[in-house]
Amino acid sequence: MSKERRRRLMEFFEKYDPAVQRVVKRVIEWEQRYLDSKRPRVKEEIREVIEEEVKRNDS
Amino acid sequence: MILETLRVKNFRQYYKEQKIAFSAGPKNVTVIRGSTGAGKTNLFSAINWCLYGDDAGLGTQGEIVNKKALAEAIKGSRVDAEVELRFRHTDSDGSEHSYVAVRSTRDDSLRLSRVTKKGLEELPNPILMLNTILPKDVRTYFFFDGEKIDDFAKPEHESQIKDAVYSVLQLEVLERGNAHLNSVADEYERELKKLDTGGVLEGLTKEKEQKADELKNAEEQLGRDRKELNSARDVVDEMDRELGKQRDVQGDAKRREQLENERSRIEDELEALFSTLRDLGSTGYSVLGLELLTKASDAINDKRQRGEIPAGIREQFVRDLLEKAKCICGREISNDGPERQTLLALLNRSMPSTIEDKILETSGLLLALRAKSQQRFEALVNLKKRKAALDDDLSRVTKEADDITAKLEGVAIQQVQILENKRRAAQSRANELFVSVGRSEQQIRDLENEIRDLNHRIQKTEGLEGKAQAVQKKLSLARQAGEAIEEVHERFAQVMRKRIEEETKRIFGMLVWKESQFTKVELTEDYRLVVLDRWGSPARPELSAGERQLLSLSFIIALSRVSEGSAPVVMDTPFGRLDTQPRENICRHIPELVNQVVLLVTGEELHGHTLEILKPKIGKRYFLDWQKSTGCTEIVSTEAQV
Repeated sequence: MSKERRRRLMEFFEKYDPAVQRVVKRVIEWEQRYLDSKRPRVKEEIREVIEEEVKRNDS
Repeated sequence: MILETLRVKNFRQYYKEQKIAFSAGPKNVTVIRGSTGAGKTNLFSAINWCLYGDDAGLGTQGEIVNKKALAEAIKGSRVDAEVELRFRHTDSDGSEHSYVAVRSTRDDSLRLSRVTKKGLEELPNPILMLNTILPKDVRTYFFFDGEKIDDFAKPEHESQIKDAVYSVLQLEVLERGNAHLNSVADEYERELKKLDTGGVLEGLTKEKEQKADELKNAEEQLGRDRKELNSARDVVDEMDRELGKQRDVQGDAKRREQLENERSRIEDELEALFSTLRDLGSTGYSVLGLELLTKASDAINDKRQRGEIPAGIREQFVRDLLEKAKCICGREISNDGPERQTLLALLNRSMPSTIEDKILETSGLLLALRAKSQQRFEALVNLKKRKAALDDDLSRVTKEADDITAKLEGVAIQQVQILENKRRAAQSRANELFVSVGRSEQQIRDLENEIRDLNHRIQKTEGLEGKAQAVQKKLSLARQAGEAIEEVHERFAQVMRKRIEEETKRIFGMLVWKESQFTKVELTEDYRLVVLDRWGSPARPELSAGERQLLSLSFIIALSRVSEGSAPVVMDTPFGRLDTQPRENICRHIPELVNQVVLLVTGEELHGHTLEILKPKIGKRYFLDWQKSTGCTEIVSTEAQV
């Protein structure tokens, strides 16, 4: 996904909480990388993204 | 993505190594001309095979390798086909890099490297990288057979159009993201259920507060009882002193005072003895297990004696003796002496040092436990004997004191009777209070134990609830992110659909020669590509094959522009079914609409005025020269002729 298209897409998320925006951005990056895979193993990565974000908010 | 060069080696009819450089920039068109069968489609396939392997649909490896090269190969030697594609790409961070993609029939795997100042840096996961450049499903909308693209414009091809929009705009990324976030959220929900304490913490805290109140009351009551007990005892002591002054009963009074002191001492000792018994009681399990400990220890000793487990000598100790050839007593251990044989026999019986360590450790532990249990058992027996002796003493002392009291009550002296009555009342009260104090002390001990236990349970529950809170936060964030993606997915798809519709309409207007006939193009909510005529009626069924091709091309170019993906458009035989006017329109407009165009054409497709229109935009031009004598094709640059 080009930088420009990603920017346009992320503009749609501007009304959401910054933590939600950060999670969405990273989830999209992971999904993009595994787009070719029929059974992408991205759940572990998504859990990590969410856990990091929760820790960041707690600290 | 901008294509730079394509190098083919022994690929299909391309014998040995041959190369094409693609044009980009203001002259962004590369024309590769060849007759039917000269190898246009195979060159088109080479790009697809290099990047996507089997998915290019080329068949077996044997069919990929050049037949002339195979025929010429020395028997037993291997010949491989290889394709290398160099391209530039602007990464998601905005930086532009050059890449080299290579695939060979040797291992049929894609090697993708980034060009750096130090040379080529091979990327560890080329497929993942390629997905961020031009995913497999998306490339079919950029690298296509011109004669087969009219599918989009045929009736009832909504699903294909929707697939194209979803693939090129990568809406699937959002769909998958939403699905995976929901799946992760479901996992968090299951974790949360396991951690649910059902409000136990609140109940435990309340119970603890209640017990703490009870403890406070018991302690206050104990303080009051002790104070009153001391007062009652003071009265008894005072009465004893007064009675001691009465000459007629002086002896008995003094004796009773002695007995009371003696009784007090015995009771104190009994109290201390009970306390020791309580402490021993809390470790009673080891006393109860004495028999088992003895059996276990005996079993190990028995096995050791039979040589089934090593003796209490460590393997390392035996090795040290053998190495030093000297016993710890100073005696020499000669090489052929019996001492050395004994030591070697010991060593042969030894087990791995870790097992030996464990056995030695267990034996030591059992011995220590057994000794401690024995000590406790003996202490219990002694305490029991002492208690029996104290009970006897207490009975004797109490009886003698009671006898004296009865005797003094019978003395017919008024003053003595008054003192004795006061003493009896005080003593009676002191006895009651003594019982009450004992009861309160026990109650306080029980309450303290209960509070300690509650604290432990509260601590454990707090840990669980703390974990539950953390999982709840993760669950909430995963759900929020999933919902956000779902909402945005719908809005983003709508906005993009409208933009594709506008672009398709604009481009179709440029390409079609009857632009006044077709006034409107719509991409409906259910992804139907609708063309309306000047009377507002759907005109798609009336479109000719060429017009359908133009509509499809317009849709693809619109997709490319809206997606901002900047992929090149590689068209194989694009003009076969088109008349002069639409051909000219394509040549006039397409180079302006996309970043890079590669046209694989026959001589009949691109000539005369059409070629003249395109010429200012052509940067590179090649001719595919199929040679009858070899059955192979040579790529010939015809730039000089442009």
